[in-house]
Amino acid sequence: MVNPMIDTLYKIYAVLALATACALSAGALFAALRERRRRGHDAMLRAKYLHALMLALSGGERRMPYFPLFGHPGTRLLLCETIAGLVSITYGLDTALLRHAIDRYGLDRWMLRHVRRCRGYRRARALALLACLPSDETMAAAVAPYLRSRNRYVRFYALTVQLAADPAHALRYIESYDGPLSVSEVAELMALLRRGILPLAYGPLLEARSLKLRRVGLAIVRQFGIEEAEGRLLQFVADTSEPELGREALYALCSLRCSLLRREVAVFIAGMDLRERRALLRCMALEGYALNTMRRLFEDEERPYYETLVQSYKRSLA
Amino acid sequence: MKALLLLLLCTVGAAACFVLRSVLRGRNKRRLLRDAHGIGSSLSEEIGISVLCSGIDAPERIDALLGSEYTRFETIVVLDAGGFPDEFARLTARYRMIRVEWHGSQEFPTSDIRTLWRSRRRNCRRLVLVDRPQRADGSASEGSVTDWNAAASVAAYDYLLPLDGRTALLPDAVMRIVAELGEHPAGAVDAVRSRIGMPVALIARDVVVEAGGFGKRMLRQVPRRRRLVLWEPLAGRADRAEAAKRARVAKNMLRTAVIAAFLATGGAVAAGYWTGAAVTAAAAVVAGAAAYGRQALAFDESAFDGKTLP
Repeated sequence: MVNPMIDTLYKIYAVLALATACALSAGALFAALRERRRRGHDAMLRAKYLHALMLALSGGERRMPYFPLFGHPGTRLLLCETIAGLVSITYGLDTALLRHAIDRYGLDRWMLRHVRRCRGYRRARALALLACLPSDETMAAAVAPYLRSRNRYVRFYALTVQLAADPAHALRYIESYDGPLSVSEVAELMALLRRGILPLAYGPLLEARSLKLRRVGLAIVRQFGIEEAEGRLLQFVADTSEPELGREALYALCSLRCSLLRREVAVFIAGMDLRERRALLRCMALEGYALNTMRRLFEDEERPYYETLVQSYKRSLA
Repeated sequence: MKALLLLLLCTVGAAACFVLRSVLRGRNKRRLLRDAHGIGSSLSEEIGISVLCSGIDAPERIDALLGSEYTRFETIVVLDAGGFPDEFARLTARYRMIRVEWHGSQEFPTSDIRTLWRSRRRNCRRLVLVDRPQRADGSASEGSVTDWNAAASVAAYDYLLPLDGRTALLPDAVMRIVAELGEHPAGAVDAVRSRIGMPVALIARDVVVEAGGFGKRMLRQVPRRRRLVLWEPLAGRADRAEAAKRARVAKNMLRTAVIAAFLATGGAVAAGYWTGAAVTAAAAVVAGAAAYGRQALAFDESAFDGKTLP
C-alpha cells in the first residue's frame, strides 16, 4: 500500500525538480545574456545619453537632446539611471531641461509602473532612482502605498521620493514615517540635505517632539559643526528618558570638540556600561581630548586604559 | 528508507532554492546600496573600521586599501623589518613613513612589537606600519593570528577586519559592511561575515578583547543575534590569475554537471527508474541553482575588472 504512494511521490518530485532545474538553467542563461548586454550595449548607450545630457546642460540649450535608440527595450531605465546619476552627483543643477525630458518621455510615470512591477530591493532601487528624478507633488501621493511595505528600504526610499517631490512638507513626512530611522537612513537624509533638496533648519528639528526629527537635527548639527546647539545637546544628554538620543548627543558634543566637563555629561557617563565607556574613550582620544578631561570624567580604574589610548593614538614623534 | 531518501531530496532542493534566493537578494541589495551616496559621507562619524593586514607587503594592494572613500577607516600593515628588510624599506620610502612612539596596549598584551611607523603624506595618514619579528617555528595561520593581535593593539577603531595575504577585499566591501552595520543601533552587531567568496569577517573590538585576541572559531563566541551573515562576496583571491583560472574551471564544471544531471534524469525516466530520476533531478536543481547564483554574482566580480585589489 505504501510503496505505490511513495513511487507516485517520487514521480511528482522528479517532475517538479526537473521543471525547477530547467527554470534555473534558463534563468542562468538569461542572466548571462543580460550581463553581456549590460557590459556592452548598455554601457555604450549610457555614455551617449550622459554625453548628450551634459552637452545640453552646459550649453544652456532648451532643445531636447537626441537619445539614440530610445524606445528600445531597457532604454527608458537606462535614461532614468543616467539622469538620476547626474542629479545625485551635482549641486545647483538647473533641472528645467531634465524635467522637460522627463515630461516628454513620460519617464516618471514609467518609473512608477516599474516600481509597481518590481519587488524587494529592486523596488527600493527603483524608488531611489525615482527620488533623483525631478518631479512634482503628485509623486509624493503616488508613492504613499510603499510607505507601508515590509521591506524597510522600500519604506525609506518611498519617503525620499516624497521629500524630493514635496520638500515643503518634509517635517511632516519624516514625522509620519513608520518606524525609527537607522543611522544609514539618517546619513541618506543628510546627503539629500547637502544636495540642497531638503530645506531643513536644525533649530525646529531639535525642538520637535518626534524622536526621528530630533535625530535628524542632531545629525545636521554634527554634520555641519553647529556649535550654537551645544546647550540643546547638553539637554539631550541630561534627559534620561531617551538614552539613545543622549548617547548620540554626547558623541555630537565630542565631534564638535566642546568641553565635556559638565555635570550632565559626568552623570551620563557614570550610567554607561564598561563597553560603551571604552568606545567613548576611544572616540575622545581620536578627537584629541586631553588626559585631564578624561581624568575628571572617568574613574581611577580606567586611568591606565585611557592613558595608553591618548599616548598611543596621538603617536607623537619618537 | 525510500521515504527518508525522498525527505532528504526535498530538503536538498529547498536548501538550494533558499541559498539562491539569499544570493539574489544580496546582489539586489548591493546594487541598491552602491548608489547610496550618504552612507560613505555621513556614516563615517559613527562607525570606524581598522583593517589588520598580515602578509600583505605589495604597495599596489596597500594603495588599493587606502583608496577606500570611507574616511573612518585605517589600514594597519604588519611586517618583519628583520626578515624582509627590502620590502620594509620599500614601504617606508614609498609612503614616507616616520617612526613614532608606541605604548603597550591594555587590551592586547603584545610585547614583540619592535617599532611603529606612520606616514608623513597627508593622503596616507590612514596607514600604520607595525614592525614585528616573525617566529620561524609557527605555522602560517599562527603567524597571521599573532600579526593580527599585534595590529589590533595599535588599532584605533571599534571594528576589526583581519586580512591575510591570500585574501583581497572587493572594492566596495568596506562601504557594504558599514551600510550593514548602520542599519542597526550602535553596538548591536558584534560580527559581520560573508558566506560567499573568500572567508572574511568583521569583528567588534570588544569581542576580540574578551577572547584574549584572535584565535580559531572566533565567530562562534558571538551570539547569533549579534552576528550578521551576508550572502554576497566581500573578498576574493588576491592572486587574480589563479582566481580567473578557478572561475573558468568552476564554470565549466557547473555546465557539465547541469547537462549530465539532465541527461541522467532523462535516462532514468526513460528506464522507469523514478528513484534514480528523483536523485538526479535534485542534483540538477543544485547545479542549476549554483549556475544561476554564479552568474548573478558576475555583477560583483565585474567590480574587479581593471582595478588593483586591496
